[in-house]
Amino acid sequence: MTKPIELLGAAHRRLALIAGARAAAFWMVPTLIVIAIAALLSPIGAVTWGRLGYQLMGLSTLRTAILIAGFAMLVAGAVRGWLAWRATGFVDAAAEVDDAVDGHQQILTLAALSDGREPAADDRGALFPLLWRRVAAMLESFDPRVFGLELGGPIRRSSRLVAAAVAVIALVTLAMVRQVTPDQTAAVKLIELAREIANTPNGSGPAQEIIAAAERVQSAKLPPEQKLQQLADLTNQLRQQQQPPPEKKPPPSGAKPRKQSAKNQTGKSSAGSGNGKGQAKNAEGNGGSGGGQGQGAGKGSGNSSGKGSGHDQNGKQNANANPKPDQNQKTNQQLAELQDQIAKAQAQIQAEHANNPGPKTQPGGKDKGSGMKPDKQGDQRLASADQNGKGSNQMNQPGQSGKQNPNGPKPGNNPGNTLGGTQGDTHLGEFPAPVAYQHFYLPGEHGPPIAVHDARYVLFRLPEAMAAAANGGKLMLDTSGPHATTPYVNVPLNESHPLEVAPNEQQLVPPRYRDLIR
Amino acid sequence: MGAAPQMSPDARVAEFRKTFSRAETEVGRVIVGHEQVIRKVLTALFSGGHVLVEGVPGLGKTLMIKTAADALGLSFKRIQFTPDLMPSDIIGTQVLTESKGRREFSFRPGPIFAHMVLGDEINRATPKTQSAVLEAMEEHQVTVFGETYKLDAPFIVLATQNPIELEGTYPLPEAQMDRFLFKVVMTSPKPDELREIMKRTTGAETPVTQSIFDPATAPKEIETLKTLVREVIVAEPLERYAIALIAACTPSGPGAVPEVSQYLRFGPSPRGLQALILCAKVNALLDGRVSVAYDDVDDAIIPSLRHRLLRNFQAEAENVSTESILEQVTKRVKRPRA
Repeated sequence: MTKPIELLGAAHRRLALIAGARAAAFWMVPTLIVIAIAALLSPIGAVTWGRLGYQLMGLSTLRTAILIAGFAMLVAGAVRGWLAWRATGFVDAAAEVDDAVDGHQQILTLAALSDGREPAADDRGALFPLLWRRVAAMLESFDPRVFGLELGGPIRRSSRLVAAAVAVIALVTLAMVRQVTPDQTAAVKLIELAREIANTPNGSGPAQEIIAAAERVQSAKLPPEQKLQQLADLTNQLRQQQQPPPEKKPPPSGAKPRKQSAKNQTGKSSAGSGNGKGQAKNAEGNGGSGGGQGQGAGKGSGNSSGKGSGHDQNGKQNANANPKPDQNQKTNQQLAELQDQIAKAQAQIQAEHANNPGPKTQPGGKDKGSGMKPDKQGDQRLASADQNGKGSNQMNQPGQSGKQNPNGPKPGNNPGNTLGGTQGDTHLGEFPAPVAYQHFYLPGEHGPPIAVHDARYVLFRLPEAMAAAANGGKLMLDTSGPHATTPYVNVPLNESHPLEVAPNEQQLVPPRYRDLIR
Repeated sequence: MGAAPQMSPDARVAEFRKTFSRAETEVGRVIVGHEQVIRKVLTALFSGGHVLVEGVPGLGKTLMIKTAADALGLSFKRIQFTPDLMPSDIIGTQVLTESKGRREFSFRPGPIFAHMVLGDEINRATPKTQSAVLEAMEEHQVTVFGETYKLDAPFIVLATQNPIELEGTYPLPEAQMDRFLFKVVMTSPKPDELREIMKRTTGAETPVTQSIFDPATAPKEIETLKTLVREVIVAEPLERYAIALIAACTPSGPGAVPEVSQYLRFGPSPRGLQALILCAKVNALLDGRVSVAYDDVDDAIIPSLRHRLLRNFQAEAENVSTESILEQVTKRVKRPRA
């Protein structure tokens, strides 16, 4: 004869475990998904940054918060499971068994009378023996293992919780995505680059300094002036990182490289990227091979810039750069990109600072500051100002420094005020020194276009100009070679342009190249 | 025959089922259809309650009750309630009699002194007369001139009520309605049932009921079976379920369902719970069980509670019946697991 109480006890234990497992399973799937999302946050942030151009701010904080939420859900699942395990009583289990065997609550009645133990004699009615026998007969072939775990139901029910958790995380993540400003972009790239530098021997020290500086630049509390200063310092550091002491070859005796060409090339760290032979045109027909200054001075072994780096018109130059391992190539490219980003950031900061110089009190006005909000159109206004401005800065003649230009403004003077111009876009009133007025050629403007493919940066070289004495000392462009029809300038041109071949158009140098011009 | 207490529980249950089935069969010899009404009348008999039978004239209410009494071998009295019926006409009175040269008052019992009393068209009597039946129904005794007379057990009042021709009637007060264990409604017979009625009542042979008990021992037999009904086990979850049903029918109660709050003025009294459980116990025994199931309770809800709910004006205006309200209550109240 089956012992109903013992059998119901076994069913009770099994059902309690099942109830606990099902309650815990309701929380288990959301917990796993939340933890998986936390683990995938870094790739998500990388994709957001790398492909979409947005940065996921506070990545570590968000990951920590999600992990805490996942842990809380884990604890909640455990607690719910424990509570469900405890809440499944003997009579509850009997009711389940009753439903399973279609006992019409006879098993439930027996369990309610016994409650897990043999019922006392006082509790037994006259009909209790009959009830006992009936229940024993019903449980004769009953196996508690008919109650399966069946986690599908709780998991399906938890889909709403999963959806809610994913939605909340997605919303929070979207709320933390920021469109980074150029300075922040530069700072982030700086940090990435610095971490790569830190992996190199003797690179940890500078890398830490760069990271610290980049984090300061990222800070919104830092004033724009200090950001500019930080970026300038970073640029210098990067140049030092990128350009070790150049190995200059003495020019051959048969060639006389132009002075300004040499000056220009030595001034650019990117000039040393070529490792091929630079074949320059010999405009004067004086054949000769000359080592162009600055060619091959850099340690970078970028093959892409191997051609055309020598523009010495007096002779051929043979630039031989020391080949470096490929691992430096990537770093150099990144450095160059980074400099470009820093230049952008500086221009952005300058523009924002020019438009929003800070809270001021208007004369006779209210105490509210008159500072303007940073405007996305600031750069456009800047460009417009450049085009409409009537600054008196004269475009420097190619091949001639500002000091050599007798009509050029004196360094330190305010040319706009001197000539009555409106200065146009002065970039905080900061005019470049006249000596830096240089003209950059467009591709193909000076001779046949250089076939440069996949170059990450190009070397600008100022065209040379010469003073034509026959014209009364006026500067004339060197018309022996190709000349620019649309010159790039980095300052507004004066209406009374001294050049006879004053261009009809003006076009600003992209802000990111202005630093190079200077 | 005989359900002696010495019998085993299995035998007692089997005896109950057998007796009940035989009574149904015997009544069914005369009465065509109305199986549920017959079952509820017998259930009330074995539960110790009274039944209010409602139906239009001519459905066989009186015949059914008389047939049931004949089948069970119990004494039967019929009272035709009229407006001029006096309480003494029901319970009896003291009459002056002369015996051996002496005149003395002696009690002459009224028709209430029977095992089964049929109060035909009880709503036609005055409230005073109706209330005279109250003590008999509840206490199983009557008091005449200060003397109390016990009624023989089993005692069951089966009152009929005509739902039409209400002019000149006195609707039963709530207090008296609450004393009926069940209220059953007889509906018009179906065509095939009508055909059978025609055959049985217009033919040469009239069906006759045979008593399943010896009239001398019938009251004792029935009382033994009534004891068995009371012994049926009700588990604590079932008790809570029945209580929840009663609470759900109470408009002012915390567990009232929306329909009850909307359409009822008053809910059932504790007598409703007693009726519910007793009917459920009989249902369990009829199913061969010694413990009540949820289905037993559900089956007892409408006959046990329909006459205990007092509808409000809105329910009457919208023609919402108590039966439909009870159906909603059954749907809404959850069965407790433990």
